[in-house]
Amino acid sequence: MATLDEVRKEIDKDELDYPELALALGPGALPQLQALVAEDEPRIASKAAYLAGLISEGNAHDIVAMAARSRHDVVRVAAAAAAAKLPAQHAVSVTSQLLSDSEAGVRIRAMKSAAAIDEPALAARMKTMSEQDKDPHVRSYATGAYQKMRQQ
Amino acid sequence: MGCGERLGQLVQRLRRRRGARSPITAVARNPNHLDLFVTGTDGKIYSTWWDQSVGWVNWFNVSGGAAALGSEITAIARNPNHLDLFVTGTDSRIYSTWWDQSSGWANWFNVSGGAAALTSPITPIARNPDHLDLFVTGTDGRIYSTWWDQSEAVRVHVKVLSEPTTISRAQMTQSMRDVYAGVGIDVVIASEETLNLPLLNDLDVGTCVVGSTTAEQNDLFGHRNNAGANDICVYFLRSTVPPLNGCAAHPDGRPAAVITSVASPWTMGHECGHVLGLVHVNDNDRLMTGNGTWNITNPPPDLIQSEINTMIASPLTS
Repeated sequence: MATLDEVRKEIDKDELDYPELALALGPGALPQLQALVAEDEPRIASKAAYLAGLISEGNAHDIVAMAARSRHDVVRVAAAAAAAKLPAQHAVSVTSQLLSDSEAGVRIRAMKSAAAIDEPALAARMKTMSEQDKDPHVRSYATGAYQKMRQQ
Repeated sequence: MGCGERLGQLVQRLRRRRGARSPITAVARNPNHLDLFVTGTDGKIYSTWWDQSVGWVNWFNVSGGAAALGSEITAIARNPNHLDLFVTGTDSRIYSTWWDQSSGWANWFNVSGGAAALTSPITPIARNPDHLDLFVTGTDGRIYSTWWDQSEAVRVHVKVLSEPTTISRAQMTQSMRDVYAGVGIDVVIASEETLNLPLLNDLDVGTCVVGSTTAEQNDLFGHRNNAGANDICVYFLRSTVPPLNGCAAHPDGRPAAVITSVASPWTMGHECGHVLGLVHVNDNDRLMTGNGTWNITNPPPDLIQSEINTMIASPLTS
């Protein structure tokens, strides 16, 4: 099993192959990924959260949910992207939370994940956002994404 | 007392103070100015200067540089507003830095991966203001040479969606310039502009491999805004999906890279290196390390001769 420092070293690269790394590290690395998200360093935490989502077993959803509560926008963006990789019930929960995020970019990334999750509740949220979100870019994106979801 | 006589006395005093084995290097950039360089008793590289208008100034350490005791610092003025220094470092590697009237002292960098016997002097010669030739005795006793030519340059257009949060954009640009200048490639920032593209500020880069781009990358890289076909567009944005420090995958005919807000000082140079055709290496002393440029162990990072050849051969370098 990889140590915390070994996992940190693996993810602290400029570019990394997440699918390959998820396969190599597996669920055994989830405790280390959880610790790295908790360390609250945005560069590392965002990568750890996304990798946990890709591993998608065990308590991976807890790690992504922790990242979704981060004070760093980039970590919440990573959580929004990772959410789409989780099993349906957890994917819906995390995505739903991030659709209400205070930062527009995070909401946009959450909408992109929501579009990939076939869930009526999320579609309904998108419809509401297309009409009521305070940010015009979010409203515009939600309108297009909701129409695509209806066509699927 | 003439300037030459005063200089002679000063050199004698310095030799007494700093140890007789350290040669003093003097260079006159113009008839009214002298620059001196020496390795001090503490192994640090010192300089002072004399100017007709102000006389001598205090010694100062040059850009944090150090060398083996007795190492000769060689200096050359390619033009009156520029100095290049060369020395063999304590690790036997060949280092250089420069001073330019417009930007001051640059950081020390390893010259083209070169190494020499400890305390070996480096001999530079400028055949013209835009060309340097270096000669040195290597660690194997053989004589080596390399050259630098100002004529190579890459043109970079900077597009800002989000400013970096850890390292400033100016520092990233300067770090790239330092490394590239060390191998004779000038980095020209041809333009800078802010782009209001919130839907692309956390960019989907897919697998981030050469020749494969996402719809979001294609959309972003369409915003070249008059950049030439052989110019590199560098987009500063908040993050990528999946999270990376940067990504150099770009569509054919649109040379570009993205740099995220958590990038290191070297990520911009690293990603542009990919755009110029360089690949990852497993060596944390080098710019193209695949182990993460935050983990570079001996900054500034190196480019080796084969990488320099690749960069110069790129149609994006002219």
